[in-house]
Amino acid sequence: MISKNNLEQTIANLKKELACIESSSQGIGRRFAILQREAESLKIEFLKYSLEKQRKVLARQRGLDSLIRDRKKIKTGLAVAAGGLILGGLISKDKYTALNAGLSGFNGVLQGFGETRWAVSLQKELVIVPHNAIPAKGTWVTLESLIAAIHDLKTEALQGKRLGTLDNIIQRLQQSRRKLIYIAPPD
Amino acid sequence: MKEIPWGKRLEIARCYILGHTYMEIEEETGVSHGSIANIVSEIEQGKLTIPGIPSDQVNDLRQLSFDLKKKCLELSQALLGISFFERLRALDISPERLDRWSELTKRLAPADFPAKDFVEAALRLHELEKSYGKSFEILTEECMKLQQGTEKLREEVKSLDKKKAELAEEVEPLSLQVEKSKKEKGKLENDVDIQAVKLRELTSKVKETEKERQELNREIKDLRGRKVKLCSKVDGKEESLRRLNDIGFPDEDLLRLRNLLEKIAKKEGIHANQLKESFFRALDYFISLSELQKMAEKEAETLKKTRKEKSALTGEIVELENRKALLQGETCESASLASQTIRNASAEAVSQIQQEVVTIREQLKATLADILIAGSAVAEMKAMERKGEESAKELADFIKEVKSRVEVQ
Repeated sequence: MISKNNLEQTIANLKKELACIESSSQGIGRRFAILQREAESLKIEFLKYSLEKQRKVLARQRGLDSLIRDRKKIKTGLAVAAGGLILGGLISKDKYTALNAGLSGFNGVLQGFGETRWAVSLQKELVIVPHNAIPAKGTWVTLESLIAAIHDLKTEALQGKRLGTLDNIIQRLQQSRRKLIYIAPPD
Repeated sequence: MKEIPWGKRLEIARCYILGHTYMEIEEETGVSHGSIANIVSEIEQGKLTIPGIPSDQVNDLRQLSFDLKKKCLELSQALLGISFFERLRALDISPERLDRWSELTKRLAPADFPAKDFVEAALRLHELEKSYGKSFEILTEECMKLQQGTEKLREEVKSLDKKKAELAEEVEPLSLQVEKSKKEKGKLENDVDIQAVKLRELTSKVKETEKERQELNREIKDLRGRKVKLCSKVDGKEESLRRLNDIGFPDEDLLRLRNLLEKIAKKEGIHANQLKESFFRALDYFISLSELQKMAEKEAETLKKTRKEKSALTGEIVELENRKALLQGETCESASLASQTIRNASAEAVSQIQQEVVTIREQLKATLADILIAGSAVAEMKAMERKGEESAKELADFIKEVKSRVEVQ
């Protein structure tokens, strides 16, 4: 049978352990809450990243088209690629790295030729088009204003607001008219 | 020629530093190619100063922007590159040893190493480092600590469960002991009741003996009265016998008396019967006298017997009274002592047990409250964990949705 002193000691130890568990649980809970906020903000980050990626792809495509049309530009592109190749080779002294540097330079040139002002449709699908090729139907906003509005949503997410699905985010963006710059479709 | 406003000139200068081509600047600002060339020459000559940027650094900045643009790099990526370079330096990998290091990395990396994913992960890590203001090592360490903490907590919860079970086991013998003490208390109370009943019986017996003694005293008194009466009677008869003796009337004397009577009859010429009758009358008197004497003897014997009985009875009564007093004293003393000690012991034991039970109950209540608090904290943590898992799932779904819905036209 357990003695009174032992029982008291056991209860005191138990209390200490319980206090320790409580504090560590609360700490972990707080960290989970921060992670949840981070996950919400990551949604915005990913959306931004996807839009930027699509913009770059489009820009490269446009740059390639303009390169095919203009021979001067081909020369410039090749010169940049060759420069990148040589520079990469000089720095890394590795043929693969040099090749990669050259391609990256060419890629950058292509993208640079294709860069323009971009518009995004705020519909079910987020479609990016050049500013001068907006279709007649749909609501269109500038990509810069959309990214600024998205940035505001990120701040809200970090403050603990839940953003929900992509539809919810699009709805929110449609409601934040102050940030968005709408582009009138051509008649 | 219309002069270009200051704000527009600054915008052109900013675009120039950011590495934009003349065409791009033309597109963005709407200013003609020639005006842009003029503004650029002003910047190069140091005629147009840009606030916050020294004029001698303008060309370097433009060159840097060009290089970054050429390499398709964002500013954050360049920063990441610098931090990467710093890390390499921290690892004691100088730029001249970089090619050897890259060779080593390639040799170590598998053929299908996902470099793109790795870079994306590195970028994400850099962003995380920036947002938290902590290094990768600290973040990893914190993550490890969290994992360890979770494992520790699980172990602690297990050990707490075990302790709870042990406490429950320890409480059981205590409650059994309390029940045992209660039973003993009940037994002691029963004993006290039995002793009280015995005491009552003894007092009733004493009362009965008292009554018997009183009856005996009464009988003794009656007997004494009767004895006094008989004594007075016997005294009377004895007196008459004594008188006859004193008179001198023995047997010989009687014979002589008969002879004398015959002679008297003869002499006197009186009929003998008459003389007899008178003589028997006298004898009758004498018989009654002897009977009276016998009766007196018998009465004396009965008196002796009653005296003996009385003395025996008085002795018995005295003895009984003594015994009664002794018993009364003993029983009273023992009963009071026993009841007192029992009462004291039982009261002390009961109070002690009650006190201990109360303290144990309070301690257990406090512990239970603490367990509940800790349990609620753990439950909250679990809920947060669940929410975290849900948000991770939601994020994965969101990424899929974005991938499917962000399109190029």
